[in-house]
Amino acid sequence: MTPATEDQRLSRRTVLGWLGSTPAVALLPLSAAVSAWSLGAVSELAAGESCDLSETLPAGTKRGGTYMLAPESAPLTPGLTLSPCGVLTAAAGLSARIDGVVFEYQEPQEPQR
Amino acid sequence: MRTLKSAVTSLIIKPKPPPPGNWMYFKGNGHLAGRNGAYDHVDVQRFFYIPTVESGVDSLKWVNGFSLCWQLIPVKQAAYYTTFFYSAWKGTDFYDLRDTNGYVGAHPYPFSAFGQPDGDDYRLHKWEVSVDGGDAVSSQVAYGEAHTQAFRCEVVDRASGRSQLRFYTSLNGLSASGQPKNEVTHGGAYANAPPHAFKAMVFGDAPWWLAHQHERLSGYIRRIKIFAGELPDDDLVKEAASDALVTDAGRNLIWWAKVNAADPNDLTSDFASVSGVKRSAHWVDDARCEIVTAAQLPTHHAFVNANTVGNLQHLERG
Repeated sequence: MTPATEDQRLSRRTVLGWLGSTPAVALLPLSAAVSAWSLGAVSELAAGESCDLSETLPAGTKRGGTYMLAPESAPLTPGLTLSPCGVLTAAAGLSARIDGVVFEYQEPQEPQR
Repeated sequence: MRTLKSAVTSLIIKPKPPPPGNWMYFKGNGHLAGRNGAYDHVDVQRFFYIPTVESGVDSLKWVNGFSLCWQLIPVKQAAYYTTFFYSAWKGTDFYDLRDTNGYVGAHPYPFSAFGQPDGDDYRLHKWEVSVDGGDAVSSQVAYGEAHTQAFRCEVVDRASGRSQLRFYTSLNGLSASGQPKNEVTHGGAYANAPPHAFKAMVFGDAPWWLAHQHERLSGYIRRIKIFAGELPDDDLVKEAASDALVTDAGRNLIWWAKVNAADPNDLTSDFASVSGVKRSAHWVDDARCEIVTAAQLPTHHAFVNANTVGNLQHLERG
């Protein structure tokens, strides 16, 4: 898979940014070891807001699949939910930090020929 | 079928910065559960009203159309809400108004009132236009978030009074195009009805059900602007987005406004009407709202607990 360019990484990571006028995403440098699907080392989301993980998928990924937490992931805190279609939603009033989150995405099955 | 895994990520959830300005805070109805369960009747009326009948003349006639906008942060309560009612402030009730002088309001409305199983015992709501004894709902309410909203009554047929009622539920931007809304066509029976002697715009609580007082605002409101006429939709959206009057139509039609209340006892309009009148609103009783500044809001008890029912500080106890 083609590694993301720096521009692509920046645009992906802003998806989880504050939706107001103040950018809140910490643009930390990515290590060379990260997988092709990178949300960034640290991603911020405002309480009461949602973001669409599908916008973070690498180019060329088939859309319409299913999102979930990977088995090795830390659990999401109550009030933070991930829908199967990839919408991550933080409840209003929520304030939290969750380390060790790993998302998993399964591409949709090819139709049988 | 391919599976992708993301890199290990830290997620940080930060409180959404509240909009600037002062908010008028109203407590919830005191119910811990649904419509008929655990009622905690508190016969405290906590609403303010602006009379529309001045020297016998209705200054906010339905037949001329009217428009208003506001910002609202709803706090969850069981059962019903009131943001505003175009109705009467005393001397009548909802049933009388339905059949005579008319009323309309726009606010959250419980799923469960329709018998929907996902209603969480009257603790989940959709945005509603309340008119004619009916409740037309649209999208689901998000609590603890600031919603910039507007309502427009446009009389599309002066003879019959047929009216288009348009409730913009969560405005974003400066154009009416593509905004989420709840729209109702009204037959028009109220358009030329004589005004009730106590006809008024009412905010904060339903002006009926004194024994229950269960249709409370439950949340925070600011930047209220009322216009005597059909403000064009795009102008109404621009007015909703600004503390100042920013359109010519808005300046010509402003009827009453309270943008950034600093004192609950000062409800004189922030802007004079085109005829030079600064109308005043009045509290129905001794109960007042609480003024919450933008700096206080992030730690205010009702904002922090906006998604829960049962915050005792929020429940109306008089």
